[in-house]
Amino acid sequence: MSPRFVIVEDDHLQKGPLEANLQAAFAGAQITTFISEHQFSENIPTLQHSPPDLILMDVMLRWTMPSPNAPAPPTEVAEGGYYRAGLRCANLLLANERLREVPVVLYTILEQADLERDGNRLPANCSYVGKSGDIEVLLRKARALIGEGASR
Amino acid sequence: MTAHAEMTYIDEPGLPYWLRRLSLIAQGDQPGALVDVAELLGHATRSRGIVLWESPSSADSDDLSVLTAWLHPSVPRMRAIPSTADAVTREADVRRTLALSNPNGGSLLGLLVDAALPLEYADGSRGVLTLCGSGGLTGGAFDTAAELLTILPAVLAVRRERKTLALVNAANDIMHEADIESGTQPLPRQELQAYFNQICARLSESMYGADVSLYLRECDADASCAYFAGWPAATTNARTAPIVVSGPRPCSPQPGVALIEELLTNGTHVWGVLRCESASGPPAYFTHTDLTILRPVAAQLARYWANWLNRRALFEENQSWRHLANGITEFNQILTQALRQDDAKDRQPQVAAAALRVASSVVPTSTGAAVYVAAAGGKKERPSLQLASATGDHGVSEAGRAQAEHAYRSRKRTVGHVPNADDADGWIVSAPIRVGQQAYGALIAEGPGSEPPANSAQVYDILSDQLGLYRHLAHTMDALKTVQNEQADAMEDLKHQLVSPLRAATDRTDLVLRLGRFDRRTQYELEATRGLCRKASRVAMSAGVFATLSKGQLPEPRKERLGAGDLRRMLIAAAADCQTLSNPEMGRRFTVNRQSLDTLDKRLVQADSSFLQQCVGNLFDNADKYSYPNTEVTISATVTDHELAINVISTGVPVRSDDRRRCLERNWRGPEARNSTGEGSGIGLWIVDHLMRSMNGRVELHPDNDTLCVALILPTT
Repeated sequence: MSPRFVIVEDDHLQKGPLEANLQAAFAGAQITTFISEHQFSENIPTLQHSPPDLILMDVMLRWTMPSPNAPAPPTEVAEGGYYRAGLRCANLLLANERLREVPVVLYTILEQADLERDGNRLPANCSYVGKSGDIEVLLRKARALIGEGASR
Repeated sequence: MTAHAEMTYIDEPGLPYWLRRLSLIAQGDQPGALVDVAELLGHATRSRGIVLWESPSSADSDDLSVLTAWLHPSVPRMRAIPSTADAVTREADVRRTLALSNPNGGSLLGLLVDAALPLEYADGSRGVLTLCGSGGLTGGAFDTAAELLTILPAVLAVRRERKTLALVNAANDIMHEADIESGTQPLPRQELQAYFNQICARLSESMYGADVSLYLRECDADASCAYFAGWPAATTNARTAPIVVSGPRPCSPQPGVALIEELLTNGTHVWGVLRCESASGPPAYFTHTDLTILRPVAAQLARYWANWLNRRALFEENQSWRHLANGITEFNQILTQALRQDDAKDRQPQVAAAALRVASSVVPTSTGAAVYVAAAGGKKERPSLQLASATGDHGVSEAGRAQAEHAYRSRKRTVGHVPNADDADGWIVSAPIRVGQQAYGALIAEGPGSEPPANSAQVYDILSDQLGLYRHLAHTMDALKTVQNEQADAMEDLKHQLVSPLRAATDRTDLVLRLGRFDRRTQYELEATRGLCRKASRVAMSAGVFATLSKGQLPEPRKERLGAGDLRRMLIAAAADCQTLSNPEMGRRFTVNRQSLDTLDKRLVQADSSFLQQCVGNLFDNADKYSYPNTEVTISATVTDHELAINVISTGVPVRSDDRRRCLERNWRGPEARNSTGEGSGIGLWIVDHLMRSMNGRVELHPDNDTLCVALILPTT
């Protein structure tokens, strides 16, 4: 069965190549991309209905795209800013009965030590891959998390 | 009168009994009282009754007082000691000559008065010897009595001196024992009372078994003295009443009253009163002579008491400093622990409570204390004081808050008076919590009495200074942490901006290589890669400028002269890159008004082209980041006589007019920007501002609802 991926990435310049690389590595992969924290959190019910096999999550993430009718952020987003938006999204999954088992790869330019600053720990459903490395590292991690059989 | 039967007399045959006895008394080899001397006089003159008087010491008193009286064993006992002198005695006293019995002469001790002889004691005081019941003095007896009177004053003086010396020595011994007992610390009050009781007991022995009471006060401010020690130890009503130290002391006997007092003085200080009363007699009344015995003991007691008070004050002061040292050490540990916490600034109540605990242990007599801290109000509001922590059963009084306000406003410590809950006198100390001229609040403490305990004001000073230092450090650490976090956020943002285009460029290059052919898509990908590389280069330069500015230095521009053509090419290239990298789904268009630059004509601007590229690129990035979908970003130039303005006009997330200047501050982002996209660290325009100023130019923001015009202005040449 074709794997189903969710990509959470607000940079359209990175989004396209990432989708292309996943398509190349996983035949027939179904990819859904969210481009902001708001869009992701808004689609939690949809994901809950049909949980993906893997989520690739950027960490520094816009709340929303600029728009005259942009939704106001909740307090924790307004106070926390965009620096750790991906972690907030991962925690939303953890808090959800049907989504807490979905593996999340934090795919970010930040170092893991940056994410663990001030004694914080990565959410239990998350693993880490740095963006500055080879794309193969990400693909290997994805294969490991969704099962070797899913890749070609 | 049985003492003589136990005496050992000089074995000189032929000497009369009384003469041998007198010799022994004069040598002081035998114990005995004044009454023994009277007995000898009785035997020598063959009298059956002897009364020794002392003349009144001043004109205010006109009656003689009995020094001692003797009765021959053959006379029936229980004769009353005379309370007033008879006429013969008075005559001898007034005329200072021998007075013999006369028809008006009365009786004393139930015997007829025979004669009275004036005498002068060794200390200068006068007296009278009255002889009674001899049945008329014979010539020999009279001569003997007259002779005796020449040596009697000296004998009495010796006796008195020896008696006084013995008493002083005994008091010295007792005080020496007390000193040994006390060691390096002052004796506890109860133990000192016990030693003073012993001295009073010895004094009582010397003063005919009188009741002896010692009244003392602890400072000059006390108008009266309280009972401290005495003998017998059982208290009486008189001992419960305070004794006023000022005014004349009762020192001459009054009929029916037996009371003498001596002040305890040491230098100019009066520390109390030593009182003897109710002598069980005889003679039943005190005389001036007795005061000479009382005086040295009173002086001894005064010295010891003053010394004890001094030692106690020093000890208490030492104790208070020791407590303070321990308290400060403990408080410093608390402060250190609190400062190590992330929420050091929020720990003010716990720290204030710790300070009050230390204050309470160092100044245990305080009845209440409180820490008030300034609560920040609005920008233009005066900060109000709020209670951070308080101690004491009743806390601090209403006056305490006013004192706190005063100390906070004046930044000075004050010591004042305030009635306590029982309306008695009380002290209040208010010390500002401050560092330099920056005040944070005030520490208040109250207690009973007219003055705060020694050093306590300094204790509150030290604690309030510590609190001020803590508050200052906590604020500084908080600010430092904020700066550190902002710095870390800024670095993360720069890294994000730097690595993201490189990541995208790498991926696109991979795709081009994978395609293996050159077509329109390849061209697009290469153009995008070029734009990404330029962007990465620009971000890297921003990181360099950020580092320079963070060190407090200014970037140094190269001096280049740029014409309209140079600027046109720069703007078009930057706009093209931005258009290429902009998300096509957002439909934003970047348009350069090429003709607008024509107005520059042949004039030039002096600028660093890389700096200007950096500024233009940052403005275009912001426009792409915050513009609404399907809007146009217009780039144009405006030329005036002396200036060129490059205007970037976009429609998107609004900037408030009031925030125009703040947009140029480091780490500042407008609430609308924070609440919409949320991205950015607020250093882009800060860098642009510095770069422009380094080129003698400036940046201006002109918001108008959703439209924003950002102008880069440079002087023309």
